[in-house]
Amino acid sequence: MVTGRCSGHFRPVSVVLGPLWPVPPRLGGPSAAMAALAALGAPPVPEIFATMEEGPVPGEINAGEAWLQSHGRSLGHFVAGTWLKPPGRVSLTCPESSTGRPLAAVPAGDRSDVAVAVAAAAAESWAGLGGPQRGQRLTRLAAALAGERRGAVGALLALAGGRPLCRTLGADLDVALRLLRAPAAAAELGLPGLEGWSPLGLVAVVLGGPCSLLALLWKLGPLLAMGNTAVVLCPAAAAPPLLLLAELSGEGAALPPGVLNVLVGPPELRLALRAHPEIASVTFLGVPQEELPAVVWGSPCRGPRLGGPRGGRVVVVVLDSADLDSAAAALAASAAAPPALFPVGGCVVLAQDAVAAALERRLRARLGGLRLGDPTDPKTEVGPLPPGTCPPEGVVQEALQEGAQVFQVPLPPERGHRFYPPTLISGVAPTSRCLRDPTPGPLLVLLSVRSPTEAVAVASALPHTAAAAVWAQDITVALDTADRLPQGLVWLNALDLLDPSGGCAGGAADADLDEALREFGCPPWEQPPKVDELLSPLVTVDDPGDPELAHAVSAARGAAPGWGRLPGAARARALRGAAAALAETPATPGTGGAHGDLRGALLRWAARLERGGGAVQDVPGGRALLTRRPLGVVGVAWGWPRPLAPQLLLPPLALGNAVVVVAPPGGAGPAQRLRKALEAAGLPGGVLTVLPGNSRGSGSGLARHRPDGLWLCGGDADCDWASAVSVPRVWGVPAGLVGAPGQDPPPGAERELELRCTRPHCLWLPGGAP
Amino acid sequence: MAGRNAGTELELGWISKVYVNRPAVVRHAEQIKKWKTLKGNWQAAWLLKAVTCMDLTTLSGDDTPSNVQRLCFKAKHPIREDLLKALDMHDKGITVGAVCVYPARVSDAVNTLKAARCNIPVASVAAGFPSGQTPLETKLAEIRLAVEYGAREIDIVISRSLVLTGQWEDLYEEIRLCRAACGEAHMKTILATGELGSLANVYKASMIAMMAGSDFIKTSTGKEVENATFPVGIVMMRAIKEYYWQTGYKVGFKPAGGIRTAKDAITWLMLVKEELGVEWLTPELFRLGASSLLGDIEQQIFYHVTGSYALQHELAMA
Repeated sequence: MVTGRCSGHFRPVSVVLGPLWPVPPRLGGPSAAMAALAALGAPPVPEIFATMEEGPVPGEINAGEAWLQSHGRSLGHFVAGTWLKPPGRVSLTCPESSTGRPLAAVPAGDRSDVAVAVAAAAAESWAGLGGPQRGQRLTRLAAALAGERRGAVGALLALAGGRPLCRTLGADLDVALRLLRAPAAAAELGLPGLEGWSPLGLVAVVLGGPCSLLALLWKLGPLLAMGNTAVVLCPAAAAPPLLLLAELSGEGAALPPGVLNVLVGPPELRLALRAHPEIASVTFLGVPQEELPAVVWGSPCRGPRLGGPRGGRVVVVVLDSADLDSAAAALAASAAAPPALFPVGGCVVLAQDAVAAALERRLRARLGGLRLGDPTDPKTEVGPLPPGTCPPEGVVQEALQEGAQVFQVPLPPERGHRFYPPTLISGVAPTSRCLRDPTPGPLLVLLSVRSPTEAVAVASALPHTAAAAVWAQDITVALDTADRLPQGLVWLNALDLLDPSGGCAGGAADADLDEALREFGCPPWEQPPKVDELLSPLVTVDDPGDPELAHAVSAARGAAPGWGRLPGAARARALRGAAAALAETPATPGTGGAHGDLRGALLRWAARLERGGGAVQDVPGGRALLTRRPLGVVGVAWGWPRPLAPQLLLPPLALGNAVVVVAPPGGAGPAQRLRKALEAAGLPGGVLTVLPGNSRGSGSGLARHRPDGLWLCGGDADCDWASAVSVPRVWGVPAGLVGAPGQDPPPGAERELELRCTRPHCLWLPGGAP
Repeated sequence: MAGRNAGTELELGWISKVYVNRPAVVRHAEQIKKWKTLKGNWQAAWLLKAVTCMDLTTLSGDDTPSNVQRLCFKAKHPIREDLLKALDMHDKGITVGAVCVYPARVSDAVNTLKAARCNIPVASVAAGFPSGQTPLETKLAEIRLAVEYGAREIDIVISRSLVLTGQWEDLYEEIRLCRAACGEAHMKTILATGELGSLANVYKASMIAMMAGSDFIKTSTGKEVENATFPVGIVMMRAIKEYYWQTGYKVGFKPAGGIRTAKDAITWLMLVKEELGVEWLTPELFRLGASSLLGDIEQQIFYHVTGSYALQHELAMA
């Protein structure tokens, strides 16, 4: 029944005294809604009734603009808990992403500001607080982000970064909070598993190119939780939300002054950061790959540690049992605003032949319905291109010339050149530039594939992939396909679910939360123990030649998948067999102790394999299966002047990698015996290759052959070079971790070794929503 | 536009490969709940559109000629005339889409509307509403009687047992016979989605109902435990779109049950616009089944025009 009661919005109504009926309606009276309408110049009701346009959302003050206004649109650097505005500098402009209109001005930072920031970074007092205190402070920072300034953070991300407000205030902010809270919780619990670790000290984080607040928080959370302090260098275009974060960090006694410092300056300043003696580590985020070698090249031997950039595209496999409508809806949403941690790179869809046409029709319909416009309008779904990226026009034109079908939604004429229309390219081959180059913007590329197996093959051969998704209702096919995809983060029937506890890993070099914490910590075995006994006599030999290395690495590459896919128990059998065989061979005089060590280590790693691993994590919207996968081919370059410790080779082998080790001939003997014993016990040929060599160049020699991981025993310069140029995971093995012969490895060493030769793999299984 | 849906032969191939991923649909629906509501003139225009698409309903055991009569007058004057004038909408024929009653009340409604010189169609529920647990002969007889009494729209219910046991041919035949019994009257097929067990069944039942010639498919009777929810609506609209792609026929959509606030109504309209397109936002292709919704809409329009909410006596009761 219809009643006159208002069921939606309750407002106290004052009782009108006087004639009760009829009360003349106050037509045209003072009304907030009408006033706002007049300001908007809204079309008359009959016109909207005919067109059913939705109109803008008026009248709300943009909280981001309000914050900028409160600073007089003149920002500075945020150092030591206060604003640093050095006079007489060139002024940098922070532009609005959609129009280029200046939002605020910042004085350009220079080397003197770096010195001020380094001096201000209160490393000792922050580390001295202890894990639980630091965790609580970081949780307070998250609370400040979620509190009343939430609106300002979201609005600034939309204004400066061009991501639509419905994302920056919604899913993005939720992930941002989790990115702070998860490491904070680890710190509150006293960093379990990291007993004895100490902070590095002062860490510099360099943002370049298009990079989101979330990408920064993914590093910043673990960095601060471990007890380091940070100097963040960002370009002016990305500065406003980061400066607000820095300002928030001082509010409500979240972080002490000097813990989080933000400098705004030209990219050259990163060289000053890298060269500064008090900066322990430099992490690069969003620096284009081609610029990295120039930054890294020639770094000093004991220089800052270097972390690589992140990002890439998402590969979506749509199989013939997929819910096509849901897949198309998710894909269109992801094209409109890519997953928050992978802000550029685009999305590639591999659709099985049987459903490719049906999917394409749905994608076109969905892309056509996307609302493109001002990112600060809450109804906008597609904002402008991320700052610092070029429109993908060239790539699209090239695809057209190659005979591809290009579907493009017409761009509203009033939109400037910073906007690009939602686009679907189909009918291209993996050779096409739209699949080779990262392409920012609302762009989907659709390829049809014949089978799930072919989808896996294509997905494995695409460059710059960060994550993958499989859409299929047939659970066996879905799980089988997901399992064979090489990407470290795979969603099942979903796109862009992210949570640090469920793995934010993406791309070949990325890490889970445990690894992210370790990246910013100094392990207790970092200081080398006293090594008295040198290799005697020190034999000098030539490094293995390129053909020899190439042969070994390619044999390893061929053998690795078979070995890695064996169940852990089968690999354990080989290790136990080798241990038994070694027990029968009489030990060479003088190495008896080491022999015993090796057998013990073989049995220990066999036991670890038999115990099994992996975890199921409850995450928002379902569960995530967390496992570790072998890297593939791990190169080990032994440069220390003492015999090779063959125990070091066991973790990568046991965990399913193929290993190519370059070691001095004197120390290679035990390794060769280990290889023979293992191969006799069932290790396939090529999984372990021992090459003689003995110089600091062997690491770079190995790196040229692109192993999936590289362990350098001695030689930091090689390490930086290799990490920047070609090898995704490079590790300078701390001498203290290996231990002298006869010594037990330090506690926690096995976990560290395990993490260093495996990569995270995370499979999201959505379900169970109400 | 191809005109009224004539239905097709039973194409079981269209429902043999139906996959609906519930978590994905639910997540999509969660996003919809976060949509910002419309403001100002836009809100007013959309609310008036919702009024014209409304099936003003009373389906109670205690319905009598008197409250049906009241409902019919409210259907003719859903929004106070002076409010419409203020919005320049008084000459646009703003009435509700239909009046929806039980078969035994159809004559009352038809006579009242005729006396009021009003062309609003009367819709009758039929075919064993709400449970559908009556013999087919009774269902068909009920439909024929309702049409005879003057109903121009018939809301039939399907036999849920046929869906749950997978007897798609029988379901197709049953709905086909109902459509034949409707004759010229438009047929809305109530799927009672709360009782179909899965979203895939909702999709399949939607397809069968459209193949059998339904002019509308409708979510629920309003008597089930679970009524018109967004995930169900999304799935039904996706089936409508697929049927349109396959046959060229535009089939209407009617969510019903539990829609009580103006905000709900606008969200449904926006959802239809997103999933099906703006051309579905007409009374010919979209209806909202509701009984108490109109009161809230009129309140919101009163607020939009006058800047304050109406007291109880300021808006006419239905």
